[in-house]
Amino acid sequence: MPLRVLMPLLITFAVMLRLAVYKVMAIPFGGLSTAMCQYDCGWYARLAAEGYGSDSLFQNYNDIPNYAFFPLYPLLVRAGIELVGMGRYFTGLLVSNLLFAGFIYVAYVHLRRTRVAFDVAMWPVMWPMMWVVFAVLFPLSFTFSAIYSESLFALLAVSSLGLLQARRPLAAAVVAALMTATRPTGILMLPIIVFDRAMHLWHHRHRADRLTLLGEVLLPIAIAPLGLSAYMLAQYLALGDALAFNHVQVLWEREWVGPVAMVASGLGHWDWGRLLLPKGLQSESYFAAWALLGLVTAAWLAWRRRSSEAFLLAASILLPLSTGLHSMPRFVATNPFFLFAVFELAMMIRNRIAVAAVFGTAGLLHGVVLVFWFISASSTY
Amino acid sequence: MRGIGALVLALVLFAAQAAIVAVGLFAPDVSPQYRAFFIDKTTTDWVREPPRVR
Repeated sequence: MPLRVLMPLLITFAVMLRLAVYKVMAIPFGGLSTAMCQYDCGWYARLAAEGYGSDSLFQNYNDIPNYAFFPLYPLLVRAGIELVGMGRYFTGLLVSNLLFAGFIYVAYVHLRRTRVAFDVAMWPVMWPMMWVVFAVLFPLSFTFSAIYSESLFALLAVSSLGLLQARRPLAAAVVAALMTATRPTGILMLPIIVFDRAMHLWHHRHRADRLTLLGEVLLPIAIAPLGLSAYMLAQYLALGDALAFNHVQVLWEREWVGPVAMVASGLGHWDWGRLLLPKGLQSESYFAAWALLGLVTAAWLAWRRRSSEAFLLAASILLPLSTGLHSMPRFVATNPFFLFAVFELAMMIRNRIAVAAVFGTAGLLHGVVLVFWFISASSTY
Repeated sequence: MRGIGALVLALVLFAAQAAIVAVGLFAPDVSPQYRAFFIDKTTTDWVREPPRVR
């Protein structure tokens, strides 16, 4: 069976099997929908069902805090609700897992094109299947299955970069526009596109049709931020503040401190013992360590001459890190380029038993962290 | 998109987006309380405002 047929089947099976395991694990925590809906899930689910004008139930701020959450993912879930006719939580899980499966496949295509060494290394035949197993087992990858925008963003980021590297800048820019409608860090694709177009201009600087060349250079750059621009316009029409998505961050106590100071503060807490508490995944030092891990991984990618991936990973960490440490493990562990780097490192292991041990440990950690995550919403702990 | 069409479209999109950013930065249409609390951050006091009529 050719890989182009086998991979979608394998991915579908892996994602569904993982959900089935989650369903069993979630029984003591109120069931799958309840257990998987943590922290920001509530925001996305309510936005999908009730829209941005609904009362956020965030103290007495009306609907203002809603605008911290970018619209594309809730819109997709809303479309799913209209299409499927089920509730917000079921549909959110369905949409997220479909997007996660799509991300795994697009990532496989990207890895096949950019990591040619896989085909001549120790795992020439098995590496696509190992990628699928890695993606579903990696600790914190359960976030891709939750009602969060992670799976959508990862799918779009890899797609946009892949299209750009396949010399399809307009398509890459359209996908980048969708990125900028998904999360604030979507705008980080713009510098990549600008650099690509600048190189295109330089390489074709002697062409006679200057106006056409300028159009080829400028149109993708103009399209890429459209998602953010449209959201800014919508915010202005709704609230009178086109930058509401940034201004409302004050409600989450996010203010500019700078990445260095933030990491120093986090490590300075030295509160690793909090990891052992029921709501233990709130250790500032743990969050800071994840940020450092992500930045070191970005440096490794840069050393491997994967400069676009390095930039997208580093910038995706530095931007939120400048204002706070919370959610840093999620930002790093669900960044597709972080996952590619870790997978690439795993594929360098020569010993089959060692690789099995690494994957097994990843799966075990995945289960442990997932249970901690389920616990964090339980009122009985 | 060929010829000058792509360039014209790009310039129109740039102009539109620049206008949106300019309005966002320099001309927010918000209440004094919203401005003081969310934009200027000169106060931490917030009193629930009535819903807007659209």
